[in-house]
Amino acid sequence: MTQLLDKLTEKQVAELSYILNIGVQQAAEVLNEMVQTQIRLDVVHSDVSRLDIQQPSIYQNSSDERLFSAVALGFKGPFSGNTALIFPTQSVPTLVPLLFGEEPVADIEEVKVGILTELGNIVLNGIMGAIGNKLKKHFEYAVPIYTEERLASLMSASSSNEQVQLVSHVNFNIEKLQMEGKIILYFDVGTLDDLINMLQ
Amino acid sequence: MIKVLIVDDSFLQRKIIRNFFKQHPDVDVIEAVHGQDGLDKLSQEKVDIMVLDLLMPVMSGEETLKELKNRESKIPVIICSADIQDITKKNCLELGALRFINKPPKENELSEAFEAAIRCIQ
Repeated sequence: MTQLLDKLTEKQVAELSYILNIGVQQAAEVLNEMVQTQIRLDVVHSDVSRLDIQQPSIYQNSSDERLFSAVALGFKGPFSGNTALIFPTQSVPTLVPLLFGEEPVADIEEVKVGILTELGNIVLNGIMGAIGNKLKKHFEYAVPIYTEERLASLMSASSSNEQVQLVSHVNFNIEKLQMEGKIILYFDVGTLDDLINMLQ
Repeated sequence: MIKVLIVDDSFLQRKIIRNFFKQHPDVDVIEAVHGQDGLDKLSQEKVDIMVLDLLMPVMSGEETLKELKNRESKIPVIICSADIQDITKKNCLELGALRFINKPPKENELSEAFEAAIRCIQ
């Protein structure tokens, strides 16, 4: 794996980040339409790393007991892996009415999971679709999955040492909701080579 | 009455599309939660237009399109999907979809697709 990562030049890491940023901007446009209020998604920084040598920035809050919400979308194609949208669960009570309105529902938990799963589905499709279109390649997706856990558990549950991650730390600036989230791409190790080849 | 079948596992999207059709008093909306459910409803009642998601459990939208093609169905299908890939759109149109719009659906895009579907069934 180290050899694989060593193959990435600074230019290729920059290109990976650039492609991810295209996806994030696409996602921002979609989010604007969904909540009908101005949203800015700012990529704070992106980095590529082995999962067994974690970047401190990712785990700086690993002792944090707060719950985080995650929507994960598996993908297969020219390279395969998972992508996830992660944000603090405490934002959910504000976010859900923005998307669904205030109408009464029979099962609040079911509505919450359904809405956030669809939000993640649209955002993550925007990112992966932008990457696919940019590379002129096609991805197939698995049905997205919603979970709530501590950040450290989420990160370890949705990945393995057999994968390489591209993490984009994104600030979601919504007028009514100051919110920070992360968009993470996990690549299966074997397919990182294919991605590198496409970037050359 | 024009009967529209919305096939989508997301109740948020079904609600958005159902709300769009509320401005059309001559439209009766029924719903299904995945492709197989949609095909079952098609065999149970006469449906004029289908609005179909792609990424769904049990049976995906693309599998549903293939099954409709196998059955030589003439029902106009409007794909409404979060998938923005050019190749996905091309595949769906080749499988017989009438229109392909992205989620969240814009009202003008839904209107245009609905009018095109109406022209197909007249």
